[in-house]
Amino acid sequence: MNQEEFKTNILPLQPAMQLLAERILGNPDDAADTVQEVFISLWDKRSELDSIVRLKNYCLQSVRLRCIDILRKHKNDTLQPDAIETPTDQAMFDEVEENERRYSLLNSLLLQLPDKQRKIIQMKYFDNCDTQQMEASLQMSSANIYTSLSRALQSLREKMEKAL
Amino acid sequence: MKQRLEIEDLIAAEQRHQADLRRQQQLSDLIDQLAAAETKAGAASAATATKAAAKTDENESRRRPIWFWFSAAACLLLLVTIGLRHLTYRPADTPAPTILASTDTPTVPPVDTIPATTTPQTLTPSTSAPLLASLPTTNYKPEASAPTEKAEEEPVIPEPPLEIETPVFSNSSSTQPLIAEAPKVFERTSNRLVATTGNTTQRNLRQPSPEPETQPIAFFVPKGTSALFDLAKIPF
Repeated sequence: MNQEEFKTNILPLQPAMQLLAERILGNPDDAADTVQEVFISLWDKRSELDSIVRLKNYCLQSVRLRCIDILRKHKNDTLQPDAIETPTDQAMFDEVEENERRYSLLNSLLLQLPDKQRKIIQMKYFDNCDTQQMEASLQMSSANIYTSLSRALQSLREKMEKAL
Repeated sequence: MKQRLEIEDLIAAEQRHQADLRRQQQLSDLIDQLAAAETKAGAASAATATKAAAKTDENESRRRPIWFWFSAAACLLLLVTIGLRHLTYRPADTPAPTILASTDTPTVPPVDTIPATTTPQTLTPSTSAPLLASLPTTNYKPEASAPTEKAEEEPVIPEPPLEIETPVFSNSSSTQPLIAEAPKVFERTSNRLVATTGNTTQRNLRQPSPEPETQPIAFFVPKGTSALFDLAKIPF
């Protein structure tokens, strides 16, 4: 497996691996570090990945075992792997798939909003801007910004009821 | 309230999706860096691997199989056997040692090895030395049982004097001309015969009779006996 094949086949598994690590470790930062270590390990063993049939399950199992090792190291050395309840691979894949579906739905709903309302939602929820930054950027008062935000959310709810 | 929570979930999903995209981009960059590092280290590791492979081949070449050592041992044993046979083998016609063949001073073989002749007058004690000295020494082949030390102890016979005249002495019964020069003593004896018997005796000396068994009696002159007494026994 060369570099491009690795990026094409292994990197898209990152959301499920990240979600699984977060569920086991309970910390997004530790989960991100663990997933990165697993990716480095997979890159070192990329020549053996061609012979693996269920590559997704193999990657998730690697994350699971790595997380269990971390838990045993930091919490309890006598902790058995069976004692740790970890989500199944299928649950991780289902959750990742649901997130993707929500993301595509929200993306389609946002595209239907006016530009000013879409920009306010973008800065409010995705860019984490405060009111003063939004006022400076949009050249609007705080009252007008919150009024436009409430209208955008109402429009999204209505469209979601139609989509669901 | 439910709709609002769903919108927040959608927004959270969107946020997670964006975070995952950023994280994937970071991992992609990390993979690129690892690949670049492996490419840089590839040349050095390739050289190291080549050296290691060469060393491994050298060790493999040093480690011969067991059949090689068995073959080498068999060949060595064969060579040793042939060498021992060559050292211990001496054929019957082996030439004489170098001390006899390449000496400057002529050596005389043992007297008993001289071939017998039908003319016993040539074997008188006083005439043996010049006769033996004239024998060829190049074709001499000693007996296999004769030791080399014995040949070295043989006395060196001096060459005959130059003033000795070569008599006309034919010996038809002998295959090898043993008598090349006539001795003085024999010449004196023949003169004495000539003086007593005249030309007849001289002719007989030059041309011996065809019966070889009668001639030794005629020419054998022992010491202390008179010539006349001997002449009476000669059947003419």
